[in-house]
Amino acid sequence: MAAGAAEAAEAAVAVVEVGSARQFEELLRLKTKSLLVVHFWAPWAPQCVQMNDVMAELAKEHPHVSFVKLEAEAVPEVSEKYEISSVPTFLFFKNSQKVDRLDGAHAPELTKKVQRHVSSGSFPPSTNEHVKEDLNLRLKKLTHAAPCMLFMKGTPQEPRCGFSKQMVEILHKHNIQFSSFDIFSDEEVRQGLKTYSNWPTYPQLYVSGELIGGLDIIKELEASEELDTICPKAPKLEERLKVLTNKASVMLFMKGNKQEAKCGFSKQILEILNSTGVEYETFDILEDEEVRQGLKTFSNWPTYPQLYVRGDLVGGLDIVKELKDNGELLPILKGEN
Amino acid sequence: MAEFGISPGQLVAVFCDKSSSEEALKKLVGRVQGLTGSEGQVFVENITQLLQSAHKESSFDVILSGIVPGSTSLHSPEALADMARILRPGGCLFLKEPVETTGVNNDKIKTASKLCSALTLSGLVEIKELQREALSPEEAQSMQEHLGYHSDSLLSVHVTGKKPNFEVGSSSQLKLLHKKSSSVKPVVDPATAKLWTLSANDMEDDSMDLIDSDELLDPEDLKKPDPASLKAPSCGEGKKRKACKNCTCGLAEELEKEQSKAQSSQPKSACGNCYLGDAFRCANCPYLGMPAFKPGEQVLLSSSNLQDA
Repeated sequence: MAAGAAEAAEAAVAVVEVGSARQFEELLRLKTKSLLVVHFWAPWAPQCVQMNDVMAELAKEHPHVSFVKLEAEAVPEVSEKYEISSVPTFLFFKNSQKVDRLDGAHAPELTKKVQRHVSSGSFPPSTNEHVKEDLNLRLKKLTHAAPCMLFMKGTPQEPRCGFSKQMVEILHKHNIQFSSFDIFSDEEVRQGLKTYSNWPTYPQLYVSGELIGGLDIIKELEASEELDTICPKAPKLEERLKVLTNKASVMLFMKGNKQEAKCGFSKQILEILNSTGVEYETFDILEDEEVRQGLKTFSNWPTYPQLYVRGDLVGGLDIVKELKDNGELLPILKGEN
Repeated sequence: MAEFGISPGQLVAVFCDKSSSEEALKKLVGRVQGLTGSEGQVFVENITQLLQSAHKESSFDVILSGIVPGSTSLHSPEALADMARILRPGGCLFLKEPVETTGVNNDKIKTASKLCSALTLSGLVEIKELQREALSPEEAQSMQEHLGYHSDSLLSVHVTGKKPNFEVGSSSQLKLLHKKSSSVKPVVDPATAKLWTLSANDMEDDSMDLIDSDELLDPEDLKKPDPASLKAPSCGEGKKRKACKNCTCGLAEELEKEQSKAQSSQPKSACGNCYLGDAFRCANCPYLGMPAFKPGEQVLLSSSNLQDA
């Protein structure tokens, strides 16, 4: 008698009866960490009487699993939500998500399903979560590894696909300093970066850890001449040239210096400037190849010497000679134009 | 021993194992056959063959398993589930199995409560423990030899279970869905239905007037159209005036008249010598007296030629 009472009490604790939709939702939230088995039953169905007994037996065997009885007709909202059309019906929940379903009074099948879900456990999801976090952190580090970071197939010296090759050529043409990562060397990074940045193709270009785009985007930026402003290095050179041309009111870029010209044209322009008596400074382009090449594109003037007044290009030797003959050179040099 | 509730005409399955006594088996089968009569049947099978036999479901009215004296079968969950499957709804299972009576927890031998629990989980109801008895010396020896298990606390337990009066996996339809399906049925708009309801009485009704087709015309429609407005917009647009194949605006007839008019102005020559000059012309030729000309060319005389020199 006492044993029977204890057993009945245990069964009562093991199998919970749900009487409302709110109670059911509450229970779902409460039991997210374990398996929840819900039995949709009706008192008038003989199959449900048997299955309630089966549930009680299963509750004894699996103390960690929550077993719930829900009268299908008493709580129609829940029944309609899960499309319960007959009784008995069993639903299996994990993490508040429905993971399985069993229709009909099939005791052996119910036993098997409970055992399978219990044995599958909850370890894999947490493992996946952990791996994902590590990968995201690693991807963040990679994209910030350099101011300009290119994820490509192969290396800049040996590209292994046409698009990556084109991308490298564009970056080199624009004198952009960049680092690269070969996605062939790490499949995890290759797949992870697609979801990390929501960009499905390679190559991918990052500046300051932020995705700029793929080859098509870079080509568009190049066509609209925005590429140099977005990527590093090029602004640096341009800024430097601007500073140089404004170093003095009158600035001459020549081969050699004031005391010793190293080409005939530079020598001639020195004589002209000296005759005017105007203060000026020179820059020897032979000492800095970068400035020599950069200034050609900066001012769109292909030859040297080049004369600048207040940062604006006046011209080369021919222009200066012509100005002198016209008597306009002195006013220009003094800024009285 | 009990009669197992067997009636004449029923199908009975008897499961034995290798340790079952042959003499006892023959006696039991004889008794069961006596109970079923000539119309019934008794199947005898080794329990190890149960899962391979693939009996059709709901085949047997009664199953006796491990009942033969000397049997020491241990019933696996799969075997119990299959027995539940092949039983007819309402059929009975009579089962005997050695069980452990102490609290020692081991995987091989069940306790009596575990055995009842296993029957419940296989789909049987009304499970009862009929009796307990000690193992016979032969059964104890069989346990040692075949299972390698030796214990002084073993007992032989007889249990019975019944299959419910419905098939495994069956269910009852909810009335809930019936209400839902009826409520979901779309309500027909009365106004819409009325539009499509044409009564026979309407044909006789004087208040229902047919539409006067004359009222559909505007005064402009009664005007006679101007021939110019009938021409197609694209007709005659190009430099070359050419009528369409299916011309309806009259351009085709117009062009035909022009052609016939041009042809009539050129008299045709029967002898073909008119243009050669008077020396070759016929006596009644209308070109007599005119200078020679090329075929098809219009004869043009200058004013000076018309006067005598």
